[in-house]
Amino acid sequence: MVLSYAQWLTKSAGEKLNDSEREMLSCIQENGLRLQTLLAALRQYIFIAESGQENWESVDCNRVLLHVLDCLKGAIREANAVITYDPLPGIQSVEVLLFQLFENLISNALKYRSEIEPKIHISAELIDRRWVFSVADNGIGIEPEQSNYIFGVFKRLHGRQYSGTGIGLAICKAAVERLGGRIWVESKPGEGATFRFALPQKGLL
Amino acid sequence: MSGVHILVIEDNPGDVRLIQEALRSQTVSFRMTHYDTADRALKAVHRYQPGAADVPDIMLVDFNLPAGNATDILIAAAKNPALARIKKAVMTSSVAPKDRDQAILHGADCFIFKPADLDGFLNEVGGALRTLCDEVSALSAGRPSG
Repeated sequence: MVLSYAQWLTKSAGEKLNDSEREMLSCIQENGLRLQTLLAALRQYIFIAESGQENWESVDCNRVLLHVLDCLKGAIREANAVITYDPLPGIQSVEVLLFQLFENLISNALKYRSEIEPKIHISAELIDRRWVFSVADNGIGIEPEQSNYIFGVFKRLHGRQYSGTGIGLAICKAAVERLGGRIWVESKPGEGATFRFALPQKGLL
Repeated sequence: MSGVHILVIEDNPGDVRLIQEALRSQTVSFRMTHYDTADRALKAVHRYQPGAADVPDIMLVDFNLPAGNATDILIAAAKNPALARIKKAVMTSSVAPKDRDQAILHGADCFIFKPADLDGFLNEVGGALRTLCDEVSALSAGRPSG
């Protein structure tokens, strides 16, 4: 709404404005856009964290991953990233939540890349009757003491050089919790980061 | 003929203005009746009489409203013979797919996710309303006048 009206004003009055007024208007537009992105992420978070009836079904994780990679193909190309993955299992789960997990973790891996060619590997292994999924990157990594902080809502470690709302990992945490699992990160600065989430398996004994 | 009569139920005056602009951008000739809360809209929805001149051709309802939501309005409209068959559109800025399912289940002919940018809004809202207006005109052309 703020964005629409700022665009409208730019269209109808753009010519009549002086440089400083045009700058103010573009500031409104830019922040309108940020607000919009933030609001969309918050709505997503509330939707993931609160929606009632879960649709548990048998989900082929390979298919979910391919769908996510397809949605992120622009960002993958832009980052020149090499994405590899092991065969993933089929599990009893909630597809929309798994989608959110892979999408947020992979787009973070792309975003927080380092100078070297970004490599991201997705895998899963069965440990103690839980499937533990990993999204490993060779990006900038994070300090181990920040490894809980980053899962909070609006918790960010970087300024504007990395765009973001501070909600992506909170969405991941909410999604994993709704699936009865947990999520954590293993990382050191400069050594990449591996995000893992463990999901209990219904009926897998 | 004063064009298509659109009943808009929307609490944000900014959006009402954008809806008017979207209709103008489609060169649709229209008149608009507007309510800004679900309870006011519901009173009106109950009051419409079949065949009366003030019965709208199209209803456009924002999903989340003060004092209710679009499903309340759709359910009430379905019960009033004056409105049961008019075209109904629901729009929202929410992302919840269940909102759309609910709206469609209760008789919405179309569901619009409000785009945040001006061109998106004008195209999508304008385009959807244009389609409904064309359907309304096609229906009334097929009917003997008077």
